[in-house]
Order: sequence, then structure tokens, then C-alpha cells
Amino acid sequence: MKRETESPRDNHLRRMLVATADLTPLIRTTPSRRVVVAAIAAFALAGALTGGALAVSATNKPPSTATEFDVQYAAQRMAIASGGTLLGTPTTVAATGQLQLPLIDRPADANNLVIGFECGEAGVFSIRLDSRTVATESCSLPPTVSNGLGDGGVTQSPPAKPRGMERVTLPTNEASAILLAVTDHPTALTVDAPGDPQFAVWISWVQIPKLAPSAAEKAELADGVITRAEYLAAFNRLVGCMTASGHPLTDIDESGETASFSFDPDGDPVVDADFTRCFQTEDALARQMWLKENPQS
Amino acid sequence: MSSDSDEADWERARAGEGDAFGRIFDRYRLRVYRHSYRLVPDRVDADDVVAIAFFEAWRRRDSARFVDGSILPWLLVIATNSAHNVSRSARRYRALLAKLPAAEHSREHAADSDDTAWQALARLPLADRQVIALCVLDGYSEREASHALGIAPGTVKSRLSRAKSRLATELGSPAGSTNSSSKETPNEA
Repeated sequence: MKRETESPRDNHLRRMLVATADLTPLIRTTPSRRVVVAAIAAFALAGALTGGALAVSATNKPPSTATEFDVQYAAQRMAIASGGTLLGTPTTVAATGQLQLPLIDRPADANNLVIGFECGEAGVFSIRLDSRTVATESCSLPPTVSNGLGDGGVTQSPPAKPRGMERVTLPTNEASAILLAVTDHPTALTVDAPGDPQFAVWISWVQIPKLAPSAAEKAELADGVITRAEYLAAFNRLVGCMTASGHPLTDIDESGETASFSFDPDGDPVVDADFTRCFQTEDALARQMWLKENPQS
Repeated sequence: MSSDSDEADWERARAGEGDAFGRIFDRYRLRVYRHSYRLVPDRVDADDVVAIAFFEAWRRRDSARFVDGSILPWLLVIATNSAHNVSRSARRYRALLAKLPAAEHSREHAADSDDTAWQALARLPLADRQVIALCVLDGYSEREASHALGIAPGTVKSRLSRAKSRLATELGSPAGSTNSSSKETPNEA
């Protein structure tokens, strides 16, 4: 009976167990995985989509081919870190080149969609909900470009990125996740990649409890319009809330039409939860209204 | 409690440090496999029992028991329970098991050398199997087994006596002569 050395099955089981424990958001602890969230420059997606589009890289995984488990881990990690509950039956697909997934059976309570993504080969992958581009992921062959955020190898998008688009550069074989607030009924998720590189996708509906806006944000929204001063006031309350929670935002830039910042929870679900709370109570609705009033921003 | 003890690692894992759970797995994977191997009909089932046991341990993480600082006896109890009806135990974790690569060995009968002993053990009630597995197959004392099972030492003693009698009857030998399974197993760690 040859069981003295670890088999691929043992290794895979170990990774599943480690991830299972990692995913249990009990109390604050030293994270064993680094999670880097790229700058969130444009939270709201035109019309149907509102809320945050986040990019997460789950690192410290042994290099491997794209696997369902990796993308599932990244997506679940993102959903749970945001205080969400997975709903319905998730869908996972490994594909090459182009993929179109119908989005059916949206649970009544679902208000977000989480998309786990992992490229198996170098390429540029455009991810769309119906006709709307929600993310573009560029996978390069290792070693990847680093932005100084540690070993995550995640680079932020160029400043002039299109509205609503998150562009991150990841080494191949690292799963990422995107969490989208969805207020209408998108019918399909599409992934396009010139050159037919391999990739894997894992998607699930998510319910994230809605937090009521603060009194200050309610007051700003009461007349149905939002001025730039009100928009920046809401943004600065988000900045203050995160500073007060002990996890200040960085790279704050108010010079553009849309205020931008970076946020690095370093894999800590409590920090993620703090961000969700601060964003939803102080900034989300004001930002959404501002983007509606200023579609070119 | 030293920083690298089972109790410390289990607390870290419960707090969300996945690598601590990984260390527990590294420490006891082989022992749980060897234990399971003696309780199920084939090696593929033994692989499933190992996976189920660790998933089940995590599900029941808040009620883990430590015997002299070791979580192994409790893991073995869970493995014994999982092995009692593998297909039923696997139901809860079907999706997770499906994600694991197939075991490298073929599905072969694990009890070639002592089919009779394995079948006799398999026919015992779960409570009897638990004490036989811990005290006879793994050599734990009645006190240690009582901690791992969460029952009184006297209950372990009586169950063990009853289980030995039943096993002896099954095997057609005098009660009390029951020894550890003669099924081929690897050297203990």
C-alpha cells in the first residue's frame, strides 16, 4: 500500500481544507492569503449595474493549470468578504476563446453577481454582462509586472480606463473575482479573448444585505440631485470612516470627475467588511447618483 | 499549550487561518488513512473516508475533543463513523469529493488477506465499531477512548467487552481472543 508520500489527490484535498478554513469568517486573524483589491475608480456601471466592481487576486497558490477550485475559491472569498451569501446553483465552465453563459434562475433575493475568473494562458479577456463590459483582464506569462503591492502581482489600470471597467494584470493561473451589484436582469455573461486562450469562469448569484445610508447621505440625496460638493462630501465620509476603522484608503485622488482611491484589505475579511459598511452607508448612493448625473465622468 | 500543538492549530484554523488546518491534515492524514483502510472494503473508499473525515471534522469544529492534547483520537472516531456507511457519509460532501482527482490506485479489495475479519467488523453496530477501532485497532486506552468518544470510561469498558464478544462470535473464536485486525497495514507513524 503506497501512501507514504502525498498524492495529487492529497495535495488537492489539503488545498480545499485550507481554503475552507480560510473562508470561514469568524474572527479577525492573521490572514494566510493575500488579497489585493485594485483601485476602484468607477463604482457604478451605467444604468443597470450599481455598486462596486472589485478585482481580487488570490495569491500564494502553487502554480497550476486553471482549475475550478481556484476560481470558486476566489469568487467565494470575494462574496463572503463582502458580507454576501451565495444563492442558487453556481455555474462553472472551462473554455477557450469565447464563452457565452446564459444567466437564468436569478433568485429573488439576489442583488449581486460574483464572477470568478482564471486564465490558463496569456491573453486579454473581456468580460461582459449582456453588451456592457464589466471587466477586462490581461494575463501575462510569469514573471508578471508588480506594482509594489507585494507578491500579488496586480497592477492597476491606466488612469484613462473606460468608465465601469476594471483592468488588472495578473500572472496566469491566478484566480480573480469580480463582484457586481445587479439591479436589473442581465441575460448572459460573455467572455471574449482574441487568440483563443484557455480560461475558467465560476459565477454565482449573491445576496448582500443592504445597509441604510447615513443621515448625512440621506440629506444629500433628499432633493434628488447631487452637487459636486455633496459628492465629495460623501466620498470624504467614506475616507474618514475607513480611517476611523484603522484601514485608511490610499492613492486618494479627487482631481478627476470621479474620485478614486486604492484599498488593500490584505486578505482580512474584517477589513473587507469595514469597507462594505463604510461604502454602503456613506458613499454608495451619492456616487451612484453622481455618475448618473455625470455620465461622462 | 505549545504554539505548534494540535489545540493551538485547531484554534487558529477555527479563527480562519487555513494553513493551520493544513498542518493538522499534514500531521494526521496518514494515520486517518491507515485507520480508514481497515474499516472499508477498498482503497478508493478509504480515500473518500479520509476526505469526508476532515470535512466532517471541520463541520463539527466547535465540538472537537483533545485527548492529552491530541486531536487524532477524535479524528479517528469521525473516520470510524464515516466509514460505517461511506455512501451515506459521502452524500453531504458529494460535490466536494467530485472535485478531487481520482485516487491513483485501482479499486481493489483492501482486505484480501483477512476478508473474514473485516466483514465481521463491518457487521458490528457503530457503537461497538467505535470502541474496537480505537482500543483494538489503534491501541488507545479505555480512558483515552472515553475522552475521544465523550462517554464515561465505564461505558467504554462495557462496550468493548460486548464488542469483543460479538466479534469473537462473528469470527467463531472464544471471546477475549480478539486481536487487532490482521489485515495488512503500513507501519504506524
